[in-house]
Formats: sequence, structure tokens, C-alpha cells
Amino acid sequence: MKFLSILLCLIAQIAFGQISGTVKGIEGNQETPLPGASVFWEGTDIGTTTDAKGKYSIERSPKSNRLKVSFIGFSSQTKIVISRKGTMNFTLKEDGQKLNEVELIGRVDASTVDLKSPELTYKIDSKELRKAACCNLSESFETNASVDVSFADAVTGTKHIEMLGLAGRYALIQRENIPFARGINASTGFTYIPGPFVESIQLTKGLSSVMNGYESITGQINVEFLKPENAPKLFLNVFGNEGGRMEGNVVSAFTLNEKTSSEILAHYSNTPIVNDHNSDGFADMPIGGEINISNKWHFGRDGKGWEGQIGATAIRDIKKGGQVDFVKEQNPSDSVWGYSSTGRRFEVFGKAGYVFANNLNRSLGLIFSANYHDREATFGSRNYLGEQSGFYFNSIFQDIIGNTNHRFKTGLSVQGDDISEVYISSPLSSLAFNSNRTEIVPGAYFEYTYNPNPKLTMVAGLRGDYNSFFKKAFLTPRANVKYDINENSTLRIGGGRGQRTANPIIEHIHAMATGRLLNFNGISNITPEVAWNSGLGWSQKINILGKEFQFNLDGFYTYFENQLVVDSDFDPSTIYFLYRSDSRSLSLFSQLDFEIIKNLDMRLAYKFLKSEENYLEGLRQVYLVPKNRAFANLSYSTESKWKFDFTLNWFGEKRLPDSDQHAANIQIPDVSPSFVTANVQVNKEFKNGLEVFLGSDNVFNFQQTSSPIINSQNPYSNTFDTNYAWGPIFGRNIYLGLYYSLK
Amino acid sequence: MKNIKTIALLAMFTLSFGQLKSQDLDTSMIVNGVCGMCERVIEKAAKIEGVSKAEWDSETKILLLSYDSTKVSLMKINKSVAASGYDTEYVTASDEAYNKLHGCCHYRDPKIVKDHESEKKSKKK
Repeated sequence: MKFLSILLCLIAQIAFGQISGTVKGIEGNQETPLPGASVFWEGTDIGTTTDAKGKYSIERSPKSNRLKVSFIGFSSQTKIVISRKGTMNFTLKEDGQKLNEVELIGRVDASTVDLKSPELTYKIDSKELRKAACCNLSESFETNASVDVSFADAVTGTKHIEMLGLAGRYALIQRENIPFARGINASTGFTYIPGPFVESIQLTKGLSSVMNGYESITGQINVEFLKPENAPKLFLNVFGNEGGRMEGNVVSAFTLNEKTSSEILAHYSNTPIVNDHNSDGFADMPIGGEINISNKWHFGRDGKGWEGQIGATAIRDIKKGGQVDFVKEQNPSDSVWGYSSTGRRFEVFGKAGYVFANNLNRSLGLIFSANYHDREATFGSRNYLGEQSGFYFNSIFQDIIGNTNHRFKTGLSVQGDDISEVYISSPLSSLAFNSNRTEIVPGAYFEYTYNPNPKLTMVAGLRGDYNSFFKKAFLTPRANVKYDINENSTLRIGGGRGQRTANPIIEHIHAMATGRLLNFNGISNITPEVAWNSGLGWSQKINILGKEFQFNLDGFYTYFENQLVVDSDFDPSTIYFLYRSDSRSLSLFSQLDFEIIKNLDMRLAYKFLKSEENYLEGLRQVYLVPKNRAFANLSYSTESKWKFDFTLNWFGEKRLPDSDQHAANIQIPDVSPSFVTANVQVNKEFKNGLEVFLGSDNVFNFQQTSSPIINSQNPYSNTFDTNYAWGPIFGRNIYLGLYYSLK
Repeated sequence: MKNIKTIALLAMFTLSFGQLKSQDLDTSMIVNGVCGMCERVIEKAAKIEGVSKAEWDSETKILLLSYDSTKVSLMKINKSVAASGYDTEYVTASDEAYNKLHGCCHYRDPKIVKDHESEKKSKKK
């Protein structure tokens, strides 16, 4: 204060000039001028707003030396100005990010709850993604406790995700706001997104905006790839692990002129080696590889008129698994049980946006994509062929009503799918199932956002769609409310409806990896899956002894009016596919983030999942979903760019499909024991753009104690079942690799 | 004793004479900054050719200057200080120069200023 009064006395005697400058905002990785931002001298009523180019000019005030800039959706920023005239530029960060801590202490605050969003959204950036170096999107959630990743079965190597106690198919998985992992791509979608392509992930728990369609029930995962305009000229990643998996990724971005930039993203992975660590005669992981190539073009990003992007993706993968002899030998005998799979996906996509230069609250966006996907797979004597041709179009028009307290989004959308799934059991050709579905769903939506003050945001959305396959129109209402009790605590509440059409086999492809009869009688009449979801969330920042604790608590309840349930309990030699009502899931989640000492961050999380499906014998916990789940992550980074990361995962008991009707020698306990796995990783970043990492999955070398496969000696018997994989099969898996970026 | 007095007188005479000759001007101006590191940078930046004294105080933010107005202008000193990353009364530092400063020297940021103030308080205790 002493300094201030002296300073003011001195300044007051001199003539004053103008302070001018530019106000910019950082959204994603891009800096854009912020028009209409308010600029004022703190403690006075002298202020101004920025013009269309984000520029301002303000008379130097003798009463204050603190110049404050604020803009809705961004953290406000104050600068101490002592000069009588001159330039002061401001760069605001989006709300919820902590400018000072990140810049000044070098603290990695890589995954935070987006405090601005009315939905409960976690942002996961590339720093967080690099904590789990391997390999694709499914592993990206290993340092995030909201989403769980586990193997679907002991053969295919496919990883399932689980959110709010429900399978990943109930979440909307988008790639740059275009639906991605759906239809035939439901089981491969995650492995078709290589981790190093990803710039950031937005994870929304609970229902997301009606703008994105009617399908999401438990949440939304949107993945943003590296952008041509700010990706490195060349980005390389190589990875290898003890299990023999090798992977290489290359991203190359180039700018043709001011308005046009392009990017190529290429991925190749291969696992040539067979491992059988638990000696059951079955490969722990399938061998084979994947090629994944994308090319994107961005046009006209100068902030006015039309801007757009187009791109294409081609993916091919080949897998081989099952009994070790099948994988190793060129011409295995018919008595050997094998798994093989090939998948192909082609996709073109594009976006166009129009920026209204004289009205910045108004915008128009168009999104379109078309895809073809097929998958051929063999499980012993069973053959599967899935094929999908699809297209998607969405339009988003945004504007305000009167003032920015009232905003709306509206648009038309259409989604079309031609999906066929065929299952044939080769010697017994009578056991076949064929599902063909052509579904065109045009729809319209309107979403209104009421934002009377910075504390309260209410979003109400409604969409109406017509499904040509069911010949039925349906409504999807959804609402979210966010209220900031004070600057440290935020409450959220939301709920609504979701609907989707199940693709029975691909979503339960693990049922193919058994010898049990598949009974599809219960689903001969296709009906849509309908669910209601509601949730409550509380985010709180607590300051204790100068340390900041971030605490999140949320609870979600999902109720199914209709759900495709796959029952593996009732009959040990049959798996039933059924439409059932009344399935429900309750998920309670708490997470605490804090900095123990400088640069040492800790995250603790606990999750309770009471996820029950209405099986033939009534409501029971879903297979392999633990009721209790805990998570701890410690990460330490040094000024000299070393990063150490340690993750502990504790899984409570998981329910396994009943096996008590089997012969005594092949029975498996009803529940798995609880267990702990741990991952560690060390990264070192060098100045020349090189980053190397060394780590280990499952460092305590925990292996599943009971067999993941029932009757593994007789894979062609009708009791053979590979769906008992509740823990790691492989054991410790050491890996190393590097990233290199050339700016 | 007498000798010492003579020397002192002589020295004073020489100094004042020298001063008259080179027409040194004494002035002060405000330069923003927060810490001891800032002090070193500011003073070093201000001591360009023609400047005989540059003393900055982090409490008052005042830079005391003595300079030869035939050799250097006040504006030139301002610009030199601003180029080192510090805002002066007459010239603001560029964003590039400011951002190059060590994190603890980001004097435009009220949080940093507060941190330094509480540091000083705790030291006094």
C-alpha cells in the first residue's frame, strides 16, 4: 500500500496518455482476438470494450494502476500498469484452466473439470495422454478414473470401456464431433484411434447436448486430433513392449498458403510374437497388425466468411489368436481352435463454418461424413460378417435472443445406416442368424441456454427424430443446470432420454468366442434401446494451508425402458440374447486432486457401481463390473523435464457368469477376488523436441488366478467359454518408446 | 589529520568540478518490478553509456538516475530498460521481452506482486 500511494502521488502530477493493446483468447491451441471484451481500471468505473479485432484503447487513469480484462467463458486477467502510455496485450485462457500455476510453477494440470460447461466435462490434454504411452484411445483412460478399460474376453484382445457402470456402446464416441465408434465400429472404434494422433479428449459424464444426437446415454467422449495449422511439421512416435507389440506413428503438417493447411496422420502397429504366459494353450493376445491413415485439409481460417475442412481415413487390421498352434502354424488342423479377424474402414468427412463478421454471437456450422466398414471374423467353426455403410449430416446455427443471457442452438440432422450382421456356424449351418437393417433418421433440434448471471447456466434441449426402420417418430428431451455457489464450488444437475438401435453380435462379439449355443429368439423383433439418465455433480476447490484441493463428487442413475441383455447365467451351454426392461445402473464417483509438495501431484478416486441388468433370473450385477473400484495416481515432474508417473488400480470383486451347472472340474468361483495392478512410467523431454519414455504395465506382475477360459481343453464343446477374463493374463509388460517433434 | 582533510577537500572539488564539466543530471522515474532479480536487471539495463548512476528500489519502484544529457537522452534510458522487459513510466515493454523474464519477475501479475509482498512480511517477522 505504501508503494501504491507513493506511486499514485507521483503519477498524479504528470499528464496521462492512452494505454492500448489487443485482447486475445486461447481456445484449444489457437489464439483468437476477442471482440467485446470489457477492459477497465479496477476500482473505478472507467472502462471500455474491445473492437471487432480485439483492440482497445483506454485513457490512463490516475485512480488505479490495475487494468482488468474480462470476457464470458474466459478467466479474467489483471495487469499492473505503471506506464503513462503504451501497449498492454492480454491473452485470456478459457475458464477452468489455471494460468498462473501452469506457467509459473510448471505444474502439470493436465486433466481438469471444465468449470464453464453446464455438463460435467473433463478435459484431457496431450500431457495427460502421455502419462500412459501405449497405444490407442482405450489406454488413454488409464490415468482417468471416470472411464474403466478391461478386456472383453481372453481371445480377441478387444478392450471394453465402461462409463457409469455401463458398457461403452451407451456412450457417444466422437472423432472431432463426428460419431465414430458406432455400428460395426463399436468394438474396434477405440483401437482405431491411435493415441499419438490425439491432441485432446473431452469426456462428458451424463447426457450431452441434443445437438449431438439422441444416442448418448452415459456420456460423450470427443477426441480432437492434432490440427494441421498448429501440429508440428513432423511428429514421430515409436513404441515397443515386452509382449512384442511394435508401433509407429507419423504426423506431418504443412501449410500451403495463409488459408490452406494440410496434415497426414499415419499409424502402423504389429505384434508378431505369440505369448502364452498362463500356459492354457491359448495366446494371451492375438498377433497381427493395423494400418491407419488419415489426411485432412483445413481452409480459410482467417476468422471471416466460410472456413472448412475435409478429410479421409482408411484403416485395415488383421488379427489372429486362439490356440497357440493355430497362431503359429501355416495350416492348422481343424481340431485346433482359432480366432482370426480382418477389418476395413473407409471414411470421408468434412466441416464447414460461416463466421458472421459483424455479429460474433451468430454462427453456422455444417458437419458431414460417410463411411464404409466391414469385419470378417472366425471363432473356431463360427463365422461372422458385419458390414455397414453409413452417412451423417448435422447443422448447427447459433445465435442470441436479444442479449447474451439468452442463447440458442438449432439445426437439422440426418443419420443413415445400412447394417448387416451375419453369423453362420459352419458344420451346423442351421445355426445361423442374419440381421439386416436400413435406418434413416432425419431430425431437428432446438437447445436454449439461459445465462442470467455468471453463476447460473440452464440448458434445455429437445429434439424430434423419425426412424425409418421402426417407422416411428420419437422425442429426446434433455436438460442441464449449472450453479456456482461461489467461486470455489459448483453444482450440476441434469437428465433426459437416450435411444439407440443395438447391433446384437458386434456389440457382444465376445459371445462368439465360446462354444455355447447362441439363442437369438428373444431379439427376432428388433426394438430400440431406450434409457433415461439423470445425474448430480458437485465440484469444490478447498484451500488448506495454501494448498489447493480439487474435489469432485457425482452420482448418476440410468434406467432402461428397453435394453438388449445377453444372459450367460441361465444355461451353461447357451447364451441368450433378449430385450428386457428395468435394467438400471447407479454410479457414485468421487475424486480428489491435490499437490502434495511442489510438482508432486496426487489424484485419488473411488467409484461405486451398482449396475444391474434384468437377466432371465432377474436383476443382477453386470458381468465383470466391480461394485467397488479405487484409483490413485502420483505424478512428479521436475524443472529439467523429467516426469514420473505411478498409477495404482484397485478392483473389487467382479461378478462372473454362473458356472455352477458345469462339471465340478471346470467350475469357476461366482466372483473374482479383488486385486491391485500398478503402472509406472518415466518420461524425459529434451530441448531438441525429443521425448523418451520407459514404463511398465502391471509392474507387480499380477496375473489372474483362475483360468480366464472355461473348458480350454475342449474348445469345440458347448461349454467352452473365454469370457472369464477378469484380470491381467499377461503379467508385467515393460515398454519403451519416444516422441519426436520437429516444429 | 590535516593531510586527510586536504585530500577530502581535493577529492570533493575534483568531483564537483567533474560533475559541472560533464553536466550530469539527476532525475528519477518509475520502473515496475518486484524483486532483487528485477533490481539487478533494471539497473544493468539503465546503465548505458552516459549514465553514471542507476539505483532502483523495489519498494518504491523509483529508479534514481544520474546521466550526462549530452551523451544520452532520458528516452534512450527508458527504451533500454523497457527492452530488458520492464515497464517504465514512459515506455511499456514488449510482450516478448516481458515473457522472457523469470516467472518470479512477472510484475504485471497481481498474484506475483502479492506473493512478493507476503514474502517480505514474513521476512520482517
